[in-house]
Amino acid sequence: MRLGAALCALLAGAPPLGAQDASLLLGASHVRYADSLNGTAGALGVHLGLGRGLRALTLDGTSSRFTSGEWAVQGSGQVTALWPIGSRGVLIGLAGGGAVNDFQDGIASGTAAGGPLLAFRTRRAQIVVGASGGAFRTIDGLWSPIASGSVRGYWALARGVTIDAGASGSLADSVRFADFTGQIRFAVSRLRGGLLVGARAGDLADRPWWSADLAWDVATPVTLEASAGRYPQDITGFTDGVYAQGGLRIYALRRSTPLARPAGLVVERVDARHVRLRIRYRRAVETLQIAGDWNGWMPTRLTPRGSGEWVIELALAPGSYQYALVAGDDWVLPDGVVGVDDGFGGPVARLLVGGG
Amino acid sequence: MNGARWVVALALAMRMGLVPLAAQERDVRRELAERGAPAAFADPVLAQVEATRAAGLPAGPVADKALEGWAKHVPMQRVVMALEQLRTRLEAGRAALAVPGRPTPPEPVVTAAAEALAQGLDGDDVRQLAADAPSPEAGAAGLMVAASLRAQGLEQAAAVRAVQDGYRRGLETAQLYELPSAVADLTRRGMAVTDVARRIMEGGGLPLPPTAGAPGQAGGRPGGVPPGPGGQGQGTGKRRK
Repeated sequence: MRLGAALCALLAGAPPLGAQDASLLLGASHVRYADSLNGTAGALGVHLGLGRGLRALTLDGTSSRFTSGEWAVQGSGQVTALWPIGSRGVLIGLAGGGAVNDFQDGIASGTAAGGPLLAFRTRRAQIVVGASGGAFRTIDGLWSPIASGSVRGYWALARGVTIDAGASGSLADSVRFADFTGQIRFAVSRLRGGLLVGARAGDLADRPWWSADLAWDVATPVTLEASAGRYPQDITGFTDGVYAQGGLRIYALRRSTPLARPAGLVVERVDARHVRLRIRYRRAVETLQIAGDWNGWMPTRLTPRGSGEWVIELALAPGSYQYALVAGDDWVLPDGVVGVDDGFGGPVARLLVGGG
Repeated sequence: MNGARWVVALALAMRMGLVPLAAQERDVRRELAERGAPAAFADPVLAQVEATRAAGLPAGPVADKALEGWAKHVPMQRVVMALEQLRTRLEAGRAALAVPGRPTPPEPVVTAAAEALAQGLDGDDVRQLAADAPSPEAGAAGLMVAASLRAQGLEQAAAVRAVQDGYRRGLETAQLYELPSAVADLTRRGMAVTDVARRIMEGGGLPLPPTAGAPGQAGGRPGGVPPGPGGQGQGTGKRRK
C-alpha cells in the first residue's frame, strides 16, 4: 500500500515540469478472474509521458476500488533511449521498465528489467532486437532473477494503419516460456483503436489471449476509452482473466493535437505513368476542376466522391508541379493545403509526385 | 559536384529529356493562341520569355506562368509584372548556385533554387543542397523538397537536414519527392511540426513504437486492470503450468 500510494503521489503531485503528456483517467473495469469470480472496480489513473527525439519516458499509475470495498494500486514505468549509428537507419539503445502491484493487506508483486536494444529503421518499418535482465517479486514475496530476449517488427501501412509483431523468450529461475504477439492499430479522424492477439509456449502456457481497444477524441483535452479482452497469467503469480474497462481520459498536457487532420490532397501512384489525386474540398460547388503546369493550365474536371472528396487520375511522372483548383469562377486550393501567392494575388500550391 | 560532372550530367539529362531546355523547344505563341490569347496579350508575354532566355535563365517556368496568368484571366500588365518578378527570382537562384570556375547548373536546378529561396532558404543552404546532390535531377528534387518542407512549416535547418539525409541514404529522385508527404503523414497522425523537425534533426524517422522498450515478457494483465478482490486472480506465486 505504501509503495503504491507513494507512486501515485509521485505521479499526481510531481508533475510534469517537463512532461509533454499528462492525463487523468476516470474509469471502471469489470474482470472475471480465472477462478471464475468477478470483480468490478472504479479506477483513477494518471499517465505522464516525456519524449525528446529518440528518448522517451512513460509513467502510469492506477488506483482501483472494488465494489466490495477493497482496493489495489498499480504503477508502471518505461524508459527508452536510442542513438543512431551512421546514416543507414541503424540505432542502438537501452530500454528499461518496471511494474508494481500493491493490494490491500500487503499483497504486492513487481518486476524490473532493462537491457540493450538494436534497431533497424526505415521510413515505414522498424525491427528492434533486445535483451534484458532483471528481477521480479512474486505475490508470495519471493525474489527471482529473470533474463529475456525479444525481437519485434513494426510496419506503418497506408492511411494510419500500423501492424507490429514480436516474439520474446524468458528464463526465470526454473521457468521458461516464449510469448508471441501480433497487433494491428489504426487511426481515422478522431478514432483510434487496435486489436492484439498473443500466445505462449512453454511454462505458464495457457489459452491464447487477445484484446481490443478503442479511443474516441471527443475534444482536444478529452478522450473516451474502452477496451476488452483476455489476458494470460503472469510470472509474479497473477492468474489469467477476462476483462472489460472504459473511462474518460482528461488531458492536462498533450504532446500534439489528437485530432487527425484529413488530408487535403493525397497522391497515389496507380502505375508507372499515372497518379490518382484525392482532393478534399468541402465547400458546396457544382463542379471542381484542377489545372497545373503539367498541361499548360488547362482545367480538368474532378469526379465527386461525396463528403467533400474529389478524385482524378493524371499522367504524371515523378517531379514537381504547380497547380490550383477552379471552383466556379474562383481559383482555390484543397482544404488544409498551404499554398503561396501565385504572383497574381491568388493561391497556387506545389504538387510533388514521387515514384510510389 | 565538380564542373566536369555538371557538364556530363547535363548532357545526359538533356539526352534523356529530363531538361526541357526552357522554352526553346516550346512554341509558346502557339500554346497561347490555342487557348485564345490575342496578340495584345501574347506579344508582351513572349517578350518576357525571350528576355529570360536571352539572359541564359530557364524560360520554361516563365512560359508556364504566362499560361497560368491567361488561364486565370489576369490582365496582361499584371502578368508581365509577375513574369518580371519570376525572372528576378530565377536570377537570384542562379546567383545562389554560382561557384567560380564551374558552369551554370542545369535549368531545373536553377528553377528549384529560385523556389527554395522564395520559401525562405538562404543562399548557403541552397548552394550546399545542390552541391551535395548525387546528380542534377536529385539536386533539383532536393531543392524543391526542401522548399516544400519549408512551406509545410519545418524550420530551415530541419528541411535541409531531411534532404541531406535522403541523399545519404541513397534515395532515388522519385523517393525524394515523397519526403514532404511523409512529413504530412506524420502531422496528420497528430505529430506537431516541431516534433517532426526535432526527429529529423536528431536522425529519427518513425515515431517510437510503443513496444520498442520493455524487453521481456509480452503477455500479462493490461495496465489498469486490477488484481482481484479478496485475493481473487492471485495464484500461488511463480508456478509452472
